[in-house]
Amino acid sequence: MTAVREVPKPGVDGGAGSPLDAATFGLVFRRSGWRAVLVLVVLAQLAHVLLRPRGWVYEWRWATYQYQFSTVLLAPLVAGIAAVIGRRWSSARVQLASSPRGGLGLVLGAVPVTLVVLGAYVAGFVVVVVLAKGAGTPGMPSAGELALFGPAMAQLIVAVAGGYVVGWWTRSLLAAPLVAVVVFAGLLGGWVGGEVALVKVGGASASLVGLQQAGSVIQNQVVFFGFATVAIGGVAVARLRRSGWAVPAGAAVIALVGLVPLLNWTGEPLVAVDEPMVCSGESPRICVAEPYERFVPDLRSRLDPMVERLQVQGVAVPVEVRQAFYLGMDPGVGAVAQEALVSEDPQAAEFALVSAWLHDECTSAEEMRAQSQVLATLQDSLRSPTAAGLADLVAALDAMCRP
Amino acid sequence: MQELLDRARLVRCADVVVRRRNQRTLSGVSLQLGAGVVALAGANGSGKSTLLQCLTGLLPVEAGSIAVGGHDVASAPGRRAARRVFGFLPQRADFPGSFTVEESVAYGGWLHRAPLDGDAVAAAIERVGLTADRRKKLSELSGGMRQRALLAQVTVHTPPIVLLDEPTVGLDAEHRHALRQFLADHAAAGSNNLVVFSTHLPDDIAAADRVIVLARGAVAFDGSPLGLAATAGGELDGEVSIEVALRTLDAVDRCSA
Repeated sequence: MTAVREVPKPGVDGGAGSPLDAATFGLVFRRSGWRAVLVLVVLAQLAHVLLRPRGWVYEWRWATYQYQFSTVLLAPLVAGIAAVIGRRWSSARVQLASSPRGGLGLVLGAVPVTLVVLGAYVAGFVVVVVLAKGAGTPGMPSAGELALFGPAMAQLIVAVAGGYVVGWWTRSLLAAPLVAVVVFAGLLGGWVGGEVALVKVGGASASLVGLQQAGSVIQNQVVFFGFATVAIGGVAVARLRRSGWAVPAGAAVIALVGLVPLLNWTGEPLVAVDEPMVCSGESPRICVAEPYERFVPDLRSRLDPMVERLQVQGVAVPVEVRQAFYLGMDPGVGAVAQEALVSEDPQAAEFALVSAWLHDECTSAEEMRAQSQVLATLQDSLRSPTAAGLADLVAALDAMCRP
Repeated sequence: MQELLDRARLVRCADVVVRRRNQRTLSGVSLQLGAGVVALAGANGSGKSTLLQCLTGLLPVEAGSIAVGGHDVASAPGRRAARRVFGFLPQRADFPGSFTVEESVAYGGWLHRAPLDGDAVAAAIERVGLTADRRKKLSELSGGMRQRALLAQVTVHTPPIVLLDEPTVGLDAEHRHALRQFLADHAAAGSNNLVVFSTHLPDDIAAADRVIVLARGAVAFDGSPLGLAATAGGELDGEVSIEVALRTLDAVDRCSA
């Protein structure tokens, strides 16, 4: 049987023409409701950056990681938004299913929201940069630190894809809130259930000096989120077209390749990293990570009176205090918390000295309580110019909970 | 000669059986449709929409075969090829209301691999009588106007085969007449053009070149509107006779069940 005349195709070559031209893309983008999406995402990101504690402004890695933490709330939000858009496009389901470019049309419906979400997400980081530069943080984030944008954005993309497809399939007004709740519960479940490497794409409640996200975790997250997106979209298209199941099946297999190592990862997806330290002075020598070097003179000015009190009472001050980080401290070295550098908190400064005599091998609650009492007394005494008995307190603390 | 024969068989169904929710909705339907306007008639649940969805490849068949424009829609490559030769407007069709009439028609052109050519879009809109409303958003249109806009969307690429499911529902008498004229014009625009539409309105049926009445998923009548009228006795004028004939067929169908 001879086929009947086919519909003329665009393009001067008489071929199929460009699958997606600027005019069509512009048309779909213009009518996607992108302005509302942009406003919502920008507001969410501004709230995350401006309304949360801002200890991260002094350190690019922490700042970068903390920004990615916004995906915990942003992913559910954009999944819900995408569900609304998917539901809207579902009204054209039959036109898409019965036309040559229906599969592409289905995917195209989700592209504007994806681009707006990613654009707003990246733009939101400008606020972080402005705040960090405003706080005097030198330099800019490194490529390694910015690499975390990969899994964060991939997580947002898969959230959009999932929400869009659920909205498309269910055509329900309830899809948006339900999808948002399910995505949020999924992320929370990952944190609570110990699958942190699967759901965590950043976030840190303290300085990340000496730490960074494991490269393999970043890689596997990108693979998993990326190919899960292809699988989700592929299933939707294949279901619409009643063909082409090989694409989502293949993508699902590759997604599993990324997923398995993530599920097998134990604990936080962080690894120790060689941190360039800058050391200065004596009695004690103060060593801090490069971004904090500018805070050393201030810390020293706060330590000096305490050092003098210790020396007057015959206590040998620690040879070195060092910015605390993941690898732990050598015996006799004081731990400088980030707060001791960037804030006026007297306790943080005192702790930089007394932590040199603090050991963590307490075996009972009673021992820990006793250690805390001695520690508190010692810190109070260090603060008081007239306090005596510093040598006894230091000796007592040093003797407690030793390995 | 072979080509002429093929043109006479733009759509071919052979012993098509379809089952939905464990019920047979089509039971061995065999048809050959050539150029012209074909009305699919029958009571609710007779299988009209199911047959149209099978022709477009949206619904799989349990048994039998369907070829549209020479392409077997049971296979994925066949469906891909068939989609290029028809335009389909489903029952209760819709589209995102944020698009204007001309945007939705232009998008339809892109969907069907036709150029987003301003003239083609304008011509399609003019054919359905919405030129004055082309800049209005679909959400601002009445149900009937929206139906016409979507008709322009699925026919902007002037496909040789047009399949429409209840296209006159929601239209007033004037626009029903205009739509029937549109269908007749489309069929007449090419020697190879076929329009198949489902309806339950006698005046729609009377305007077709051929009418196929489905009852309980099987072909109960296949012939001309006049032939259908004749089944009711042929004593009344054409339009009423068709209505009587449809009722008669429906009653016979119920009795036989």
